[in-house]
Amino acid sequence: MITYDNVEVRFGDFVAIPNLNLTINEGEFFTLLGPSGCGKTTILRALAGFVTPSKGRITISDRDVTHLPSDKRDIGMVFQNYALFPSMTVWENIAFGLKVAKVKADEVEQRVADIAREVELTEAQLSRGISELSGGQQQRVAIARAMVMRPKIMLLDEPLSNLDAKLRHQMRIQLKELQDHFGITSVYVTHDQDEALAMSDRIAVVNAGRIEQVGGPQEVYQHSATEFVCNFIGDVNRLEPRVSQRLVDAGATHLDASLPSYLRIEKVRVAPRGTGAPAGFVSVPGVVVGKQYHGINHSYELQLGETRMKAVVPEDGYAQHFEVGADVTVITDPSHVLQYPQPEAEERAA
Amino acid sequence: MRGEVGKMLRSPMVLIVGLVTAWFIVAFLIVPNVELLQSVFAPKEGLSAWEKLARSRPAQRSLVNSLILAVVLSITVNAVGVFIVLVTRYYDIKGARFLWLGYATTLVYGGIVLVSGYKFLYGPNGMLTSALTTIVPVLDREWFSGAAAVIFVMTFATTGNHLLFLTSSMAKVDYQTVEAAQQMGASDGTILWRIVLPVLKPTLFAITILTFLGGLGALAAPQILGGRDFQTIAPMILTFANAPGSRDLAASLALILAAVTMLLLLVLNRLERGGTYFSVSKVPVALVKQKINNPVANVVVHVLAYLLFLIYVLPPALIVIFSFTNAESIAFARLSLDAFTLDNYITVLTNPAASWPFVVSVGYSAAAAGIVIVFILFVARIISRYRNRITATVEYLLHIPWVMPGVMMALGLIIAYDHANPLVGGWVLTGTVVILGLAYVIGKVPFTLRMLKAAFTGINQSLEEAASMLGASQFYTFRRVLLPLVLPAAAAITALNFNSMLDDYDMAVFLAHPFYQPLGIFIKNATEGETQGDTTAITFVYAVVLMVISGLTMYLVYGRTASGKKRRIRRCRIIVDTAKQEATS
Repeated sequence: MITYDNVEVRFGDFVAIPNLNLTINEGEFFTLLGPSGCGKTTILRALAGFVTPSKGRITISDRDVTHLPSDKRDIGMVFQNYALFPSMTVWENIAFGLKVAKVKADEVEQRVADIAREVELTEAQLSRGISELSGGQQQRVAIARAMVMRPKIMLLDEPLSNLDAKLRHQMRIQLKELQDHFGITSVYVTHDQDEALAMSDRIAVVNAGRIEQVGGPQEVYQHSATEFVCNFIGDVNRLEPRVSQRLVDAGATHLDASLPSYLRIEKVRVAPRGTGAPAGFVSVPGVVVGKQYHGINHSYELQLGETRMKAVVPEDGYAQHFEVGADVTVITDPSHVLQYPQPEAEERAA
Repeated sequence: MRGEVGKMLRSPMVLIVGLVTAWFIVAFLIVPNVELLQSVFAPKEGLSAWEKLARSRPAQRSLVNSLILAVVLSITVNAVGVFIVLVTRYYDIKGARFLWLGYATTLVYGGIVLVSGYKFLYGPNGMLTSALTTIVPVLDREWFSGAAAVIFVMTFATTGNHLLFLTSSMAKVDYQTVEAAQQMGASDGTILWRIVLPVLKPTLFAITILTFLGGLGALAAPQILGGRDFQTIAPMILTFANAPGSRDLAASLALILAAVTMLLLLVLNRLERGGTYFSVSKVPVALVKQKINNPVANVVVHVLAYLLFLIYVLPPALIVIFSFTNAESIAFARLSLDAFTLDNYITVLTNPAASWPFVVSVGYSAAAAGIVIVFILFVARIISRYRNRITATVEYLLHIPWVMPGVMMALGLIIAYDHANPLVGGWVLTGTVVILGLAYVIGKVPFTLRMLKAAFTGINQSLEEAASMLGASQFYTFRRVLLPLVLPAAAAITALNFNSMLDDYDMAVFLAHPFYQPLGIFIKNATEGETQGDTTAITFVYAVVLMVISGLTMYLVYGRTASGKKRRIRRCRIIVDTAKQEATS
């Protein structure tokens, strides 16, 4: 188990992490998710031992590692740019840590061969120079180099960000399989919400050095604890007070029209004008003012009185689609509206 | 900050390197300059140096001449330099590659060798002078001397910076900006003036300042070609320094030179800070050569380009040709088939007395280049690894030789170590073999530091972090991970340093031991008075050998393309280019 107890990280006068309290369970795939510059990498680097907290302590399996050198923490790391040693071959890169640890030559051979097989690197690739490999292969070498040391914890700092979309998707699966296979506690940093939702057991959403919410992917997505999380993950419509009021007027009496309200775009149904709303749903008339085709769905820009709203309709062959200018009815379940207390929103703005 | 410094000082490597560096800075960068200042501002007896300067007309005239030379060169060198870069890199000129090779001759021969080459062509016994006197018998055979001769030679001698740095800047012009201007109806001239030249501005500023400083501190050209009427500061400093009673006067002139140098470097820094000159495009497109649409202008530019080519190529070509001829042919600058011989080369290769200056130069250059690279490898590593006030101060101090003209540094060393000094174990260094080598090391420290620091900085920090996470110690990481990465750059820097010291004259003329005179002095002596024939022949052989070595060095550092096992060279080239860009921008 990894814990951050009241950890503060400063860079000169700048406080990057004000007061972090976090627990990561053994064997889980834990993701630090947040926008660029939010402090997620700093949190990871503090665990790696590259950043020393100015306050608080970090423990791994109840051992205080706050001031321990990085190589004494039993941690492996895959860097964003892989950090492969360009003057060495693939084999030398993977064997580097074992040689430093003075592991016997035959054991080095065996362990390198084993891990290479696990990450699907061929024998021919092992003797190549780093620059002769593709991005995906370099990624595998970086994983192998970290894994061959059999660390208790694996840190992954945006390891997929340099790969193209298709390869990124493949590597997601492979990384998760490796993690499951070895059962290593993994701490993963990303700004890509899809990646986080797809791979993680739990996600911590980071904003300005603070943890906004920790929870499973579904929990974080469907029950975003704060306005920031709601905005950062997925696409949402911010409902203007006037629209919220219409929902209240139409029967959603549990809503408070004065609070910031959000509705995820996939929770908005678009139907021909005059379609009746099912029981418990609310309908509002609107006009299609914009339309985009995305292959698996269409996204619509809708004008509701003086406000605008987005909606997505799947391209599944069953759903009805509309042209720009069409009169439609917007139907939604008011229970899907997410509301956040006003003071918090003001604090964020401040 | 205190924690960082404490962490740094706990490393044994840092402590050892720190002590050596501190001694080096105090003994060779601070004390010589302080002693020089003392000799000017606190004279032991008689008139102060400033009073002597006020009474010395030759000294005052040398100051004015230096200023004239610097100003005129700033104009002429830029005019020629920009022109040759435009005709080789920007305009579509027939035979541009061939022209570039001609213009690039100054990269493989320069300094005293170049001046002697020009003197051989244009001097009293020169081929051109002989040809001219047959047409105009009354022509004074000494016509090629004075201010005009110095400016002419130095103009063509110092366009190397344009070829290296301006060409590199030209490559950064985003062709899409040119196309955009063309689409908006801009003329060729407008595009050149408003789009292309502004991108080159920072490099042009830098080159102009370097040219100005070169003119101000010029030694070989004014000394050999200036005659009585056009002596500048550096030759005057040399004259005064050779008379012990006038060393303070030499020191005061050197101080003026240093003050102007520092002032100009400050101006350069200020100029560089303002403005955005680089392309902001994320996908810049390589420049496509432009056709000169006006046929008359096209012909004029072609003619001028080839005329310049002749001016550049003739002196080195004649040196190469005449190095294979006998003494008589050289003395009268006449060529005939039966004059060709390999004797000069055989003499240099087999006669120990003839090859001695070459051996001395190679010895000094190799030793100094080796010492400086090993020393600075450690210093640069520490400076790039630990960023705090101590390392920043050390870095600034190690740049002192960059702002001090060479002659001032040489003079400072002479004055500081002409008596037993505890800083160097109580030895007297002035007049010994050591002092010239020391000066070479000192002189190469700033360049080497800047380049190596850039090479270290260019290495992604995560490599070091990855190594440390895998358990590697700092020294192991340095040896196994970092050193292999900077080694190609270090090799290239060593080659460039070695090259630039091989034909040095400016330091050698002040500091060389009488029995260990390097090539620069030998070549200079060969250009004096009526010395022609055998000595000149041997000088030509030296010049050819120097050109070959320089050419080889330039080829290894800049010229090789990447393929197969040459990848290391490409990496070194990338690192050196990065370092070069950092140095100029």
